[in-house]
Amino acid sequence: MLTIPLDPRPAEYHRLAREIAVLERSSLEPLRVAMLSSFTLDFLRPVMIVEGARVGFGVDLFLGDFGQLEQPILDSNSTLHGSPRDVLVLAFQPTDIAPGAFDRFYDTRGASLDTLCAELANRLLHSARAFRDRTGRPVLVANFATPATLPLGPFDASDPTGLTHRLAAHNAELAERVYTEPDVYIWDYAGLVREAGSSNWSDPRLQLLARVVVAPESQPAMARHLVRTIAALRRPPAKCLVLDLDNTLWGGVVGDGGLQGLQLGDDWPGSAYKAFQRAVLGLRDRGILLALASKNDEAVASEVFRSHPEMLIGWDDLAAIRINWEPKSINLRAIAAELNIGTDTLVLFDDNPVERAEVRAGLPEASVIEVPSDPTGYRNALFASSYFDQLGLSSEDRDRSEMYRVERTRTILQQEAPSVQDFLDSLEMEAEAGPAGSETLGRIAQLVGKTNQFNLTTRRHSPADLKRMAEADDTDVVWMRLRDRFGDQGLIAVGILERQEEDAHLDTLLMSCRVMNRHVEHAMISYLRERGAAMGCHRLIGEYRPTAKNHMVGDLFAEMGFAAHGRSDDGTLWEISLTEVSAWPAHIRRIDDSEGEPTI
Amino acid sequence: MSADKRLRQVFADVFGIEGDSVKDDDSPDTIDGWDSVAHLTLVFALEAEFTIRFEAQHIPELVSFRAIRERVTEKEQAAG
Repeated sequence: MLTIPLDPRPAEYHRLAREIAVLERSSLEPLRVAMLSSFTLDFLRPVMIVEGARVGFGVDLFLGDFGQLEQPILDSNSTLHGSPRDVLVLAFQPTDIAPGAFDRFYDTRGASLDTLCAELANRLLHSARAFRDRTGRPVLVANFATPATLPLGPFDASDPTGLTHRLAAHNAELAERVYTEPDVYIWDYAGLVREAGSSNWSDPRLQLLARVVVAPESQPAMARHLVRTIAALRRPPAKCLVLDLDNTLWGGVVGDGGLQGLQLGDDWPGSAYKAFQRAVLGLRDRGILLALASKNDEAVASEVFRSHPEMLIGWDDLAAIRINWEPKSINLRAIAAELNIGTDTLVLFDDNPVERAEVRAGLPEASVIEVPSDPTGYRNALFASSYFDQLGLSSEDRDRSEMYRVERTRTILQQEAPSVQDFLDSLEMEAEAGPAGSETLGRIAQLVGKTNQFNLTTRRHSPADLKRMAEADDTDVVWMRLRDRFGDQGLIAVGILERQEEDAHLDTLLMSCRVMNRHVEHAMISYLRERGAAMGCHRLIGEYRPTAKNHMVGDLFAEMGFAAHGRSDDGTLWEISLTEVSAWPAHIRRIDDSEGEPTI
Repeated sequence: MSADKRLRQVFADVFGIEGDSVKDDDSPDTIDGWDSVAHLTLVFALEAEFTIRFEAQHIPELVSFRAIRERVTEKEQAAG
């Protein structure tokens, strides 16, 4: 295995790129990146290969002729379309199109910059759509970087309509437009330049000699940022951060020194742990679940949460708790089982290298953050880790932690209810179902992309394909939302029907695990039968394709009254008549069966 | 490592050739892959290796191993 130094020198990148091409190719996940840009990027090639290999990608980089945007995308004979690409990156900056855009900003008091950015955004969106629709592959659109040298220098931000604020507004508008576009995402080039330091980003010699905008010393940062962004397209985000307690959430060992002995507060050294707790809660805010795995006495440890005045993370913020003397890998497995998520969606943060090694060995599919020995570095270690990277945040993500907390209350209710039916009735569920539209396709694509357990066929359709299927006449993409007395569960089930003569084939049927065991699938099947009948079909054909993770739905069709219908290439087929009306479950109130969009 | 050895190592890394095989007269005409992109790569690899900085006007002139060695030596001496 080739060792890649932390910070290779420019010449070393060339040597390493050649060695990777020869030695490592087969062990890396192929990643074919195409870039179209308004500036020369030839120098990036070896750097991308090396930085890609560092995180497991075998990068094949295609670079268009600089300045060309529409032509290579629209021309089917262009070299861009000459071989398959996994992702397209569009990096176009206003100053490359109009060199005076920034320096002559006050010539028109920004009016010409506004026109330029609006036109460029139109071209980028148009091109991104064209490439996506043609190839079904995602597109990253670079936003606009603020230059190091501003028209008003250090006073530029004092002008509320000056360049600094205008560019920010244009970036917000670009993000707004990209947000509603399936399979098109922002590459935060502006953020990258800011983080790397805009004054070192360009080298005027290179810029004026050869139109090279990104200085050699900035290229590693650019490649890492781009690889991390692309990785977020390919690798689903982790779902749960599993935390240790002693010397992780606070300094000291609570079992030895008690509450008084702990380091936690606004002054050093307790400030390091408090800063870390804030960052952890930041993850919780955006839907990452928090769990504890600690070798401790539960009564002693929980006392810190209840009684320590400086604790920021509350006992209620935790979705699962394992405080015992078992090996951590076993506790992580138990946490995953309790939360109904895969062990490969767990991330451990533990100050103890021995525990980290135990989890790496005992649960290799889980991720483990390399924690620095100095606690002042904890916060940044958490931010630097890419495990929770997510290109777009849906409203379900933001509400997820709250939903899991409510789920714990619901479980208690279930234990108290005299019968399952009483429990289901007590939930006061309301379901709403409808055909997919622009408002729902984002969440649908997310569920199609990541649902493993309650997923009958596990077909990972791309967002572009889903959009096409939603619009086509012979396919029907539908969703179901669920509310109960505890709140809105959001969009939790997806079905895709495909008409084949008189049969409606169930290409996809999936449901979020958080509403399992509530007979919601009865409502979903009932709705799908209605939709199939509305397509003019006489039979609904269901398919079960077994995977390592979807055993729980192996008998679903039989339970729903389907009859066996033979085998498909990689699964079993099931049929049910559409001529009789199917019963909607009594414990779920149907609140709407409109053809339109749900109210979100 | 001597300056000559470091210079040859940069050539070896950038062009994928044996450092010792580089001759004084070697130029874009004799070394495979020494095109305009590789030229700038080479120049900036040299700057990073020797912690020097070439003026823009000299960059297009650094088109042989000899010319590069002379300019690097001059820069290193100027830096003291």
